[in-house]
Amino acid sequence: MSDQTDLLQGTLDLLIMRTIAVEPMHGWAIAQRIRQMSTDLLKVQQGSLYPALHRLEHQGWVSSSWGASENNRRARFYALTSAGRKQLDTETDKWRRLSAGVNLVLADELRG
Amino acid sequence: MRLWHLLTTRLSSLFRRSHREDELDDEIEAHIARDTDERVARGVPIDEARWQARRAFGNVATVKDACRDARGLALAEQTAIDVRHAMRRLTRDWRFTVAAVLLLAFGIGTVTTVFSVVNAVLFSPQPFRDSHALVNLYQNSRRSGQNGEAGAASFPAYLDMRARTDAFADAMATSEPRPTRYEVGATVRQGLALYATSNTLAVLGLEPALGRWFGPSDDQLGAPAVAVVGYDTWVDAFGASPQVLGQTIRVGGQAATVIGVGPRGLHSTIHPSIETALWLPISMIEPARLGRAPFEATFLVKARLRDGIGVPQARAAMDDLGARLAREYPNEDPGRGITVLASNDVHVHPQIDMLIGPLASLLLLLAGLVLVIACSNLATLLLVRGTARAREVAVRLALGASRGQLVRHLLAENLVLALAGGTLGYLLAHWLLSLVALADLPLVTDLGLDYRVLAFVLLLSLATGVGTGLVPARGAARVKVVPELQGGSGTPLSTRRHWLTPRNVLVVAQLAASCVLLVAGGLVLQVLLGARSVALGYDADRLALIQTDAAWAGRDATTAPALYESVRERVEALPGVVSATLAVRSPLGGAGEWRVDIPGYADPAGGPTVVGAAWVGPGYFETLGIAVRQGRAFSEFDGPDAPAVVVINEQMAQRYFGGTPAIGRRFRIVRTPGETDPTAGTEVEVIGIVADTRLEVFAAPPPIVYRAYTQGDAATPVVIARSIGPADALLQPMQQALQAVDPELPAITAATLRQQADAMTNVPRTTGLLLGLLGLFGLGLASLGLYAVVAFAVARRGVEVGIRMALGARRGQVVWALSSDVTRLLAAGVAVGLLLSLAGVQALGMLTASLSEAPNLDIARPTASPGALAAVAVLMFVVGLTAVLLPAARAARTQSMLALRDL
Repeated sequence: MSDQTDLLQGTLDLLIMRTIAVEPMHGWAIAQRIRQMSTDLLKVQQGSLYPALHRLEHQGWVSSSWGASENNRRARFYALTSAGRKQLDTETDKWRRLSAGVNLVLADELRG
Repeated sequence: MRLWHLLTTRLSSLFRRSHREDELDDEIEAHIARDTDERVARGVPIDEARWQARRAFGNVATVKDACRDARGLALAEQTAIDVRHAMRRLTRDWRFTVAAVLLLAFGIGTVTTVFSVVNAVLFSPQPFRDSHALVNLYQNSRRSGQNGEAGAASFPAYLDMRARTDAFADAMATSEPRPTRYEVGATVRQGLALYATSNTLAVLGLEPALGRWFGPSDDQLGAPAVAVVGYDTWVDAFGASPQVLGQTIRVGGQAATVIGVGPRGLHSTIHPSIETALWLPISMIEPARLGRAPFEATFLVKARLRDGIGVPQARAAMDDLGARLAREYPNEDPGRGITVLASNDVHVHPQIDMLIGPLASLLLLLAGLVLVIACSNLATLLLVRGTARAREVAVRLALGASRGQLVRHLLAENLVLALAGGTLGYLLAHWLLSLVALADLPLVTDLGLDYRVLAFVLLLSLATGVGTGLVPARGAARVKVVPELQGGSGTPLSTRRHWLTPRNVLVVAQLAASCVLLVAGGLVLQVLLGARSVALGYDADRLALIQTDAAWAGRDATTAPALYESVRERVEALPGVVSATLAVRSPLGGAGEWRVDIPGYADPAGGPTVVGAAWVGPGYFETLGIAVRQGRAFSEFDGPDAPAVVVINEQMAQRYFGGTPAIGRRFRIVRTPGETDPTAGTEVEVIGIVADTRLEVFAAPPPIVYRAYTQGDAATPVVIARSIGPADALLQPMQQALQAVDPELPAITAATLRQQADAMTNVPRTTGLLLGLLGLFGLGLASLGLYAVVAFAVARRGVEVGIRMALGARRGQVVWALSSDVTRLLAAGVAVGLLLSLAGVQALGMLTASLSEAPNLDIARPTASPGALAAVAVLMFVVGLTAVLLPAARAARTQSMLALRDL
């Protein structure tokens, strides 16, 4: 657990929204997908996943409903709302700029 | 769209809380199940898989908490949880809860009572139509050397005001409220009567609830006697029965027919808190009251402004009228002009309103002191309790509660306490007000569900509860987990404590506040004692009087004197009566005023010389016990044909005749209106000087000139009798004597002079009693607080006691060691309290000095006598030391072995 990359709250929100932008998913699947897509670099702590989902729902960016999961179990599916989509674009932009800036600085350092 | 979604989500989460909660459980379960399936698919045995999945998930409770927080319904749901938890906790510590709720209820109840009284006086609206167009008119009264201050109007002056149709559409007048005895069937009741003009309801824009009001003919003397019953009295005394119309009631002995019931909601035209039992027409007033003289100016006038006329124009019209009246009636009209005030700007009367503000503030302040005491007592209890719960707090902190949560929990407890205390306090206020009603004041004390009072109680409860709880709550939340759990919660054996701990401040505050209350009560009692013992100038305890009116028995001015004389003879013949005399009014009923011209004396202000005036009969001074200092009193020889003579009192002799002997001196009494001829009026000779008497309990004796009624034409409807024993026994026989002379004669007043004097001290007496009670209660509470503090400190220092005693300390030394700190607090509290009291008295002195411009009020200035302060200090020390020494002494009696066992 100690070499897990600590995910900032806002970043986790961004990842979740990106994940469910494609299709509605339930909590466990979201965590799995993030793991897969980040090639195991990001392991979402399950303790922070659900609070994040609830927070997103509270702010109106995702909506949730019951559905059947892949093995026919009952699960709560989260989907992105239209407001959420807009928020996703905004946040993605911000993240891209931030990470680009950080990369530039770090690249500079190494070279120098 | 987002806003809508937000709203619905948040609202639904507020109300469907438990639904989402259950769903969360399911959701988490589903997650763990899915994780289990995954592990099973990878080959882990199912039980192992389930356990791994659960562990991987983490602390379910924490996650649920975090979700709950994230959902943002923390406040509503959390408060409910906190409140439930708080109630469980409080029920377990029920002894503390009961004490706390009682404390809060007492403090809040007291303040609420005072507040609702103030609210009723200051904020009750009158039910008049378009009240912004109504103005109150007052004739300014004459005080020599002073600018006139708003008084009341005489009836002829009112008629003159009404005639100014350039300013007013119409004007109505009522008399001042008169305490009246009236009979409904066989029951005699007491109540206030207001004599009102026939256009009263028309001016105010109201309709009678039943029947009719007076008509124009009822404004004339000699009309048949009728009455309108006040609405609330109709409900109480007549059972709201329509049969009241046409019923005959006896008012002050005179029979009157009820013609209507007053408008609902109209308690009186003066102030909504004054309850009028009967409305009577002008025709039923004694004719003697309808003149222009200042002492007859007792009518309260309200006028409705004409359309388009404002207060400034009304003022101009009244200034004009005032000047005219001064010109035309220089001897009778006060000549100081007329005050015009918008009705909405006046509460009761300009003179009274001046006092209401400061008085209300003072009362609220004092009630606030009580609340301060109660709250600081509660805070002490909470602090003590907080320290005792330190262990519980430490455990909870260790289990993962945040300090914020703890503070919230504690505040929730305080909230519950506060609301409970507030509710109980509200009920207490109701009860206290009903007690006030028992004091027989004709006041409307209807707390009802006035939203202002309710809001006040609610706010007060919340503020008190939260405020009182904040300090202990913060203290409790600052507990250090590890030291506490290790059991080291005792105070170190010898700490040099800071003096300014919250607990110390609270204790001193309580003591100081009780001290102030006690001193205040003591001061008022001083005033009362002073008033009681002040020499009125006559033997009030031995005198009874009865007032009647021949006009009501159908006699006119010529036959009246004989009638009064026959009443006097009958009364004098009664067993137990030493002598009886006639007078125009009670010695305590004020006096007439005459303008006099005394050769050799000129008023420094250049105005007319005015003195008090009384028409009395032979034997007056003897009966009343007024000493004749020089010369003689009136005798039967001072008849209508004899030279006009007067008796003056010492004040008058001193003031107007200075060092020269007054006996034999002559001066002129000017009573004819409009007379400028210096030879007009009556020339009189002084034949005697008598001792001073007081016309009011709290005012110094004024100069008075007495004339024999046999030499004039004043009606003397008052019979004063001197009794051998206590005067109360005479009241019944005197009334019977009156009836025997003529059954039609009314007993308008029948009282002993002591009763009349006491009635004047009603308010100070009640106030003093109340303050004293509050002070004692406050002291009791403060002492309980002291006791709690010491008892607790002693309990925690039990080990120290054991060690000290094992090492050979004597009991006295141990007691001192345990109580020295708190005793110092007691001393500090008393000192602060006394200082505050002195400062308060100074402030009060300045306040009353600025208010009472009448140089006559000589008792109103409060002075804190060293005796009173010393008495209070002694009382507080005695009570306080008892509270401090009791637990300390008990602890010292503990066997040292028992104490050491706890080491």
